[in-house]
Amino acid sequence: MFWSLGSNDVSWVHRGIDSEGGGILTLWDNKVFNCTKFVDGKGYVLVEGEYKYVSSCKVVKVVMMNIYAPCSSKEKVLL
Amino acid sequence: MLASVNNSIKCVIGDFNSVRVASERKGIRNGLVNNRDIARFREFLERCDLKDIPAVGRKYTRYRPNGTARNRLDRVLVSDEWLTHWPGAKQYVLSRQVSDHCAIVVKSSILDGGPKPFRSLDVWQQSEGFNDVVRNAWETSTS
Repeated sequence: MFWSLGSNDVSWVHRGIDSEGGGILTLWDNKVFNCTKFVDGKGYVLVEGEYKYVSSCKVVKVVMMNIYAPCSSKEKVLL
Repeated sequence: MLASVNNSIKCVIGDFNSVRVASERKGIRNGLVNNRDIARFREFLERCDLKDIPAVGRKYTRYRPNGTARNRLDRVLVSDEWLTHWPGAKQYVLSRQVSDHCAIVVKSSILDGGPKPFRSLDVWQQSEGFNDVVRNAWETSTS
């Protein structure tokens, strides 16, 4: 999800496929993002970490959430 | 859960299986727009302090394989704090490939101005230390 050009230094968190199908995969480039915490929940993967500006080495705390919402409204409300 | 991390730089991306306005769903079941679902989705955006960022490219992100329906189920939502760090961020909806959903790329137009044109002034070469500056920059350049 965070990428600097042409990098291949990669890490990821994934949530497996459940009975309804559809997994979630969050990838990032270690050069610009350092993951400090992740939550692998039902219907989502949340990643918290530090984004590093390549130009200035400045670091900011960022939260990224990757969602795969269920179709049924009952389960959507739960999410 | 997301609302608990308010006032932070956050980005939520994915297939929400919901739309924000009725016009984001087109297809044979047009008459069956679920207004309750739309209202709930808007409520979620408000509670979590999330904004829909401008979209470029395709209007819809999911196409039913037989072509009878298209809708905008996938999107990128960000907080105000995200926009202060990456102003002018836009979501680019790409062409559909193997999946029935389209890929979305987020780019901040202000940071991404494309390649910078090469410029050099002749007087620089007469200045003392010019070669050292160029050599240092060349050797330490990483990206």
